[in-house]
Amino acid sequence: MLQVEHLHVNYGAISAIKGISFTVPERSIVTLIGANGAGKTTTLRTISGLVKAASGKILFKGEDITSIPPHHIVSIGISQSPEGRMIFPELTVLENLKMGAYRRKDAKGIQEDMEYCFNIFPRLKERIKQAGGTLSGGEQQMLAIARALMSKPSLLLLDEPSLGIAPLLVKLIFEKIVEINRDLGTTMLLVEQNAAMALNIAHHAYVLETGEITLEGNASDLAQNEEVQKAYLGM
Amino acid sequence: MNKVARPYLFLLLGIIIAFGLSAWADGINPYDQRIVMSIGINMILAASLNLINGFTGQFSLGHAGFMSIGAYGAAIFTTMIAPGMLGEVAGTGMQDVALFMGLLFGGIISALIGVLVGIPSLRLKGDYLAIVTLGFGEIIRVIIQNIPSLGGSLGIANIPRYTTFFWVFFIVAIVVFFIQQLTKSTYGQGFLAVRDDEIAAEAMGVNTTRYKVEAFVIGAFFAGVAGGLYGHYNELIRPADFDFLKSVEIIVMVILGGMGSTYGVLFAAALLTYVPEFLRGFELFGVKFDSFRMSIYSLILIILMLTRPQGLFGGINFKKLMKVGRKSVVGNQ
Ligand SMILES: Nc1ncnc2c1ncn2[C@@H]1O[C@H](COP(=O)(O)OP(=O)(O)OP(=O)(O)O)[C@@H](O)[C@H]1O
Ligand SMILES: [Mg+2]
Repeated sequence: MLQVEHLHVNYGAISAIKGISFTVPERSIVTLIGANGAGKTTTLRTISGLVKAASGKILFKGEDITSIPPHHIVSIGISQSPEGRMIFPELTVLENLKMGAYRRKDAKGIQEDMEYCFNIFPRLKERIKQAGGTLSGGEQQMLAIARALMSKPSLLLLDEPSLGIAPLLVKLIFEKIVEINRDLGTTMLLVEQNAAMALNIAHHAYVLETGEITLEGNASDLAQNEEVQKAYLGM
Repeated sequence: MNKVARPYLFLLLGIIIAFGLSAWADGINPYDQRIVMSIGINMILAASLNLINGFTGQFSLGHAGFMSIGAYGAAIFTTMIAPGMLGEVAGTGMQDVALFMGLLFGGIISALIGVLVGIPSLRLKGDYLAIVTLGFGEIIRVIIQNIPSLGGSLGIANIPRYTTFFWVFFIVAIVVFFIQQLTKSTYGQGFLAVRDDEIAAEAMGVNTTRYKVEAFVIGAFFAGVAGGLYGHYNELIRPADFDFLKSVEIIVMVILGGMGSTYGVLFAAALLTYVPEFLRGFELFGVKFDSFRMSIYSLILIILMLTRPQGLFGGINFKKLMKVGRKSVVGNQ
């Protein structure tokens, strides 16, 4: 579904991504793990069009989307749950979700998807009128994922959903990610520092180190890999 | 009440108020008339700036610049263009037509300039944008000052007095209706999203560029219309009427009213226009407040900002206020 080929991204003179290639097959969960500053967020933002690629190609369903502006990326079926959640603090939960469906016109479909979101995250339903900024960190993460789902994406980009959340809630959120993948068949590209959780739910994994992919493989195989265990699993 | 019909009902109410005010205010003395007129014009300015600063979160300090473009545009239209088009209009029913066309003319020119000013807002934020827009306002003023055919710093005099109470408050009603409709719609949520978190808005598929420029264009249009109304009431416009202080005055109304709260901003516009005039005649224990009324005005501002930094009406959920007693659920932070 998604193919990234020899992607380079620079911030001014700094080279953040140095020629990475990876693929995300349809209906799969692929994870990109790496330490702080490895370039995970940069990769996702380049796919969303928020950051411009210096060279290389991004193909989505076989089409080149490398230089498409971000507001069109959403229309073609890619949405993002951004790092740090980026909830609209002054909009209510409901308004946040509606913003997720901003590009859609099918009122009935929107309603159905909203119900699905409330089904998997009942806590959001209880807080429907609450301002996004007053939600707890975990609730904001749920909202960010639900909001991204509201555009009915075929590819969902998840940037560190575990960031700053209690372990128990992280577990719940990862279960929900698997559930969404199973229920809706949404393809997922998950970016994580929490390698243990990510490798646990992903099918395929890539290790990103300072802008380069150094390892890849089946997620369960990588979890057994000695280097990965040492560097990312703290074993 | 039907949700769709309600804004139209409010608009109708606004127009009725405009009629009522014009019937009432025509009879009062000229000094009070001027205050009421200024209140209306400031309401238009504040409500339109609120779209840029309050709803979209762009810090613009150049609103008086847009106002001046509209004022000059409208004055040029009614004094130079309209006579050729409509013949002798003063004192006839045609003067309303001339005014309307003049306001439109000034507003459109102002909106076009709004595009130009909106463009830097795509790259700049916060303080930087404030400086650029401040610069814009001053540039406009200096340019006008140096065009002899616009009267230089003496400005344009003998502009016909076409502005009536009805026109001013009719346009207040239109502005309020328009901005409410715009921001309450699904499309309009985009403005709030841009203010709240621009990158997130972009990630949701919001064309942030378009919203930012649009806010500037619409804001500039109505500021231009307000300028036209001002010129056709004051009968005289000078570049100095539209200086940096005027922009600050409008900003203060928006901040005090509560960024993004239309009714709060209208109230603040009325209050801040009235208070300095009220203090002018105020006397306590034989002390006349006239000479240091601006200090008192500033003091009131400071006290208000310290006690209600979110603005008079900002952060108030009117629906919630109606349901006092029932406790609202607050998040478990
Ligand atoms: N806007 C920017 N301007 C300049 N450099 C940037 C910018 N954003 C990121 N970088 C740099 O690019 C590199 C990759 O950053 P990125 O945010 O992609 O890392 P990350 O893998 O997401 O890290 P983390 O796990 O901490 O979120 C870092 O060295 C960072 O300093
Ligand atoms: Mg990151």
